Amino acid sequence: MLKDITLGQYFPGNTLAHRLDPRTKLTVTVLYIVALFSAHSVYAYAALILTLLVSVRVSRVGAKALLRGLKPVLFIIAFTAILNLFYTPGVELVHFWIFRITVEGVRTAVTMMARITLLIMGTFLLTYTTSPIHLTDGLESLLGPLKKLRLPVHELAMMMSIALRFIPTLIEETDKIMSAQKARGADFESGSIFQRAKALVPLLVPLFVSAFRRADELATAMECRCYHGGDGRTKLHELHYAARDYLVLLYYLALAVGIMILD
Amino acid sequence: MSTMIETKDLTFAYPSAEGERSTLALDGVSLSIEKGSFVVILGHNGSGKSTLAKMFNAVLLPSGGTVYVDGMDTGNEELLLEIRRRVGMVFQNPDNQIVANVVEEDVAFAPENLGVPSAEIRVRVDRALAAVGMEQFVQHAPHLLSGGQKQRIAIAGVLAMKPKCIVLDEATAMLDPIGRSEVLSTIERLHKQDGITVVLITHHMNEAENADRVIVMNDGRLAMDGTPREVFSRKAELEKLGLTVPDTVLLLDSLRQGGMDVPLDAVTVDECVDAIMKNF
Repeated sequence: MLKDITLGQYFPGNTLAHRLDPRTKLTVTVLYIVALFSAHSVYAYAALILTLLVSVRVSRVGAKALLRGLKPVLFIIAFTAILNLFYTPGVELVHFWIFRITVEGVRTAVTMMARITLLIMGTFLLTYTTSPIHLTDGLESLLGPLKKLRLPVHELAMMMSIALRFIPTLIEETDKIMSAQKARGADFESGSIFQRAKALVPLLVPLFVSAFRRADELATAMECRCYHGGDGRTKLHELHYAARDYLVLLYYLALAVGIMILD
Repeated sequence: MSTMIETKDLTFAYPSAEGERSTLALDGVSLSIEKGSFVVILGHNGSGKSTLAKMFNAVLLPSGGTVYVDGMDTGNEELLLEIRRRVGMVFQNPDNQIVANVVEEDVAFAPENLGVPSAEIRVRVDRALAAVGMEQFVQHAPHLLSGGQKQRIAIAGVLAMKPKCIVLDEATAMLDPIGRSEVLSTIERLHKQDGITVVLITHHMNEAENADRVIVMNDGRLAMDGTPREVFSRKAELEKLGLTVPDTVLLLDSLRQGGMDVPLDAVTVDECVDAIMKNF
């Protein structure tokens, strides 16, 4: 049951979107979000939607997968749309009982919906086309300058990648402990929420104990392999920008700056 | 032959809670391991064999005495990385020593730490994976591999440092028989082909049959030291130390007690068969 959980919803592939440097993709996503929040006119939105469509087409991520990403936020989208629809003052369009819909209300509702949808889809495209390792590598490299401010950038990236590495291991272990406790009569599935939460204690305690033991052993194993922090470390896959990265960056920069100035 | 690892009057006590008397995990161990040899260290749980192993690459530092690795004192902090590069260590639980979520990234971990240029890392990773016969798994996720395969990845991760010596601390204890023989044959091949010094810590007697030398630990001291033949023919002494002899020796011993004139010092299955056949 727990094995079905997939974290980091990466779709392996070898498209242009996959081959872009992770730093490019991260920067471009930020630029896209900036552009999204500066956009007001229909033209700006048209440009943003077109850009996303082309990016999706290039990455060959299925429309289904993208729409599935929207499911958890569907409620938020609907909620914002409805609130905006009814509570924006302006020229009245329809009026019945205590509800009044204004022209401005319709406009804001539609823009808000478009904004959130594009935001979610844009960021999902990033995680769909970038493996978690590349993502952490990219983050580490982009945040590199913060090391001068004594921020432990390398350590954070290392922690992130180790956490990702151990997710399947710990899920497997949770499954095992659950089976062991069930075999001795533990009941995880019935009762009120409080009873079920309480039933999780005998699951969590051994899981934590074992996680600490694993951490200890992993630390020793890492030391044995000459780990001594981020100083003087090299990489098997060095990140480097190619011509395609500059082109993509340039396009998104133009998009963001263009929308900010013109809109 | 020169020495790879040398210990002199080595003692070690784990830090203990206040008021408790700390017992010595190692108590005056002096031994030297030759370069290019295959040494098996045996002992029951708590005999100090794992503690001894951790001394060999400065994971633990001696409370008393000294350890020299390739002539370098492990107490010298400046030499730490060089010592750990020369003596690689493989541990018991394969899951807890794999760092990355792609095989090649994990094998690359040690050379990355050592600051090896990335082109050279590529070469080392490919060679190390070929040496353990895992080259077709370069892009795999480690958690989907079998126990034996994971341990071979861990060995490759150590090989990528180009070590002179590999210490395996009960590296086969959690594996099924197939995984165990995968790991052992890999280690034997590395020993024969590349002349890597191997220190194998185990409580499986049968793993000692191909060793040059067997060391038996008990209560933090060296209890026996010799070739597998010499050590295993002392069946009564081994049993007193809580160890069983290999199945071959056990069989020969019961045949002897049944009145057959067979030697006790046949360690491998082939030797055992020869010894018995001589009686017919």
